[in-house]
Amino acid sequence: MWKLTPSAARFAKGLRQYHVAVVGSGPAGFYTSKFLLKKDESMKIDMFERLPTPFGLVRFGVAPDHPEVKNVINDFTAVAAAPNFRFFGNTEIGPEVPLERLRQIYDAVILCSGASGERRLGIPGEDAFGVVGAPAFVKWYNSHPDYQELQFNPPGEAAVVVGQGNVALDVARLLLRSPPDLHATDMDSKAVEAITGWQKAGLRTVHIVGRRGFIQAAFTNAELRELLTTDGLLPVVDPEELALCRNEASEAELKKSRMKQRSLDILQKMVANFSELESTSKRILRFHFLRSPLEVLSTQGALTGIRMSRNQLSGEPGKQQATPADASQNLEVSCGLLVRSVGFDILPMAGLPLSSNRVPHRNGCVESAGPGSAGLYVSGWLKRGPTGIIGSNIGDAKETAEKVWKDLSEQTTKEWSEEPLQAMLSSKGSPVVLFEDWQKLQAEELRRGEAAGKAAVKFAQVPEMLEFLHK
Amino acid sequence: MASAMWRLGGLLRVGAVNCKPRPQQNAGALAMRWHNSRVVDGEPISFHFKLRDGSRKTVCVPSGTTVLEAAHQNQVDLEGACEASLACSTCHVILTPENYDQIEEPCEKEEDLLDLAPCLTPTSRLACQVVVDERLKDKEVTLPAMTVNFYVDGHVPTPH
Ligand SMILES: Cc1cc2nc3c(=O)[nH]c(=O)nc-3n(C[C@H](O)[C@H](O)[C@H](O)COP(=O)(O)OP(=O)(O)OC[C@H]3O[C@@H](n4cnc5c(N)ncnc54)[C@H](O)[C@@H]3O)c2cc1C
Ligand code: FES
Repeated sequence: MWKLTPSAARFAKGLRQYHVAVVGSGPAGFYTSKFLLKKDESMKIDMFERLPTPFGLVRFGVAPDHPEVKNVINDFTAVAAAPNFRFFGNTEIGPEVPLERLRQIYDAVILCSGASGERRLGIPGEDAFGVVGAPAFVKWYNSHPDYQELQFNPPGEAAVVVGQGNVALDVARLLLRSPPDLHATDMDSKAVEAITGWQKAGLRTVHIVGRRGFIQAAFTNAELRELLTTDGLLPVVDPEELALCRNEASEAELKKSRMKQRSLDILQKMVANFSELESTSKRILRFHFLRSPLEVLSTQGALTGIRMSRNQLSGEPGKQQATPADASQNLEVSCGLLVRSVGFDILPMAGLPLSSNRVPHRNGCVESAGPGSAGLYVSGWLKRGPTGIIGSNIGDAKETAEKVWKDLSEQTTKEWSEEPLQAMLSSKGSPVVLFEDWQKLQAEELRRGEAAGKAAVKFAQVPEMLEFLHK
Repeated sequence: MASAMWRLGGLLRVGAVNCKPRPQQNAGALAMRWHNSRVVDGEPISFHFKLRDGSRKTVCVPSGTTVLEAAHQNQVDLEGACEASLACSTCHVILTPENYDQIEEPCEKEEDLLDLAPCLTPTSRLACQVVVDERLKDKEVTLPAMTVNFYVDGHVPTPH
């Protein structure tokens, strides 16, 4: 039987189309748009992105040697091709294009701007030259325009990565990958050259340090297992340290987790590598569990090493805390590069409520619509906090889309006029980049990549992108 | 054959079954969605998807099609973020215990990715790795309940 779709039914009743603004073009922005368009393909969606290039951390976070993960870009590109979807790149929601204005113009505003602040260790010496946050470091090697001015000294023989999640593993693995492997990816050529140079100048070991045991760590098995098969790399775990991780409460945690039992299998293979530590000619990725950084050591402001405590776990299974044990077991490691990978933070935005670094919301709704002001919604890392893989944003985006759709169908739409939007966009300081412009940049990146024997040569400077589009 | 019970606690071993990403289009051909680009012309097989709202959708596809391709060809709401290259877990589905035991075991990489799938069950698989053949005929493949209320209590069931 032929049935009116909700949108056709609205038209039949002479109602107007909904106009929705989405802020941010990462997985949250695209998945939320996708699910809204599934609900009502006549809905008008305008996506605002502060950079000229879309896809957020899929472009600037995901490791360059994991190109399969980035295939999701094709799905997002199909969303962007929907007739009622528009992309306004190089358009930051902030002083020039304020959130408040969007709420006056649109029927709903969905913030999907992620969490790009970074957490610090909070220990003495942390500001030494040679200490960098993982958020900045990954964006540097992934050609993010904000991080191209980072400067490093060659780290010498060793680097330290502090953190126990997959971002820490990405950084450690990439610091040790062979130059031809790195070159073949879309990693920024400047970063490939730097890392290659560091390896030539002696960088051989990356220590990956975390305060908890492997059972509490956030590493996932696919990423751990990959280390065992990466060319020229020897991942190593100290057998004594693995044993320390297996206190009674941790054993209880282990027993309950199929995933952690599988991690143990992988780590035991790394324990078997321990005896090769002195003799190997490979580059070494050395895990340290139950160690917390106490102090960053430096000479004349430049990093020379790190001092770490030995920790012990205490508390109930599932709620264990790592606390410093006997100071005689402290360890000093020399290093010339220290990457802290201890998490991201939500950055404040004018008009967005924040409480203890989280956005309070109900099913994705932060503030309901008021007179003349659209409802405000969140999705993705901004909504859940900075954890989870690309797929984690799907259920989340569905919930927000569902809520937006429900609220919209209970309210009357505003009279739409293109004029205030166009006025705001044309009065801002730099030009808007549309999706078709991005596709020209993308084609050029692939073309340059092909010529250079790389997966792509990414644009890393906004003026260069605008100039390319202008000619 | 893998027993479905292996997944629950205890020691888990996985056989090293040949395991590789499914064929796919080159990344450049953006306009053509990848799942339409592979020609499969086996016997037609019909089976059912149990959708997230509890309803059932019967589909008919040539044997040799993956369950993910079958979903996409029939507008079944299942994501495939990495385009079947075994690098995400967005194509998670649940088989019947009978089907799960009948078909080839998941490879290690698939097991690793399943770790990250919300609502994992002992008979969970990645739809891009399961090929439709007569063993699936008239059987049911369930989409995990990723309900909109999933996150309401603030519980986030994901690692990373
Ligand atoms: C280093 C790293 C590696 C990762 N690797 C993987 C992986 O291999 N596999 C996987 O599944 N997941 C991976 N993830 C996780 C995945 O990237 C995230 O789950 C996902 O990107 C979060 O999506 P989001 O849309 O909420 O945020 P983001 O992807 O951060 O997108 C936010 C977007 O909003 C834009 N924005 C911010 N402020 C404004 C503003 N004021 N106005 C306009 N636009 C704005 C930003 O420029 C950005 O484009 C990784 C994450 C990191 C950090
Ligand atoms: S589509 Fe990514 S693993 Fe199946």
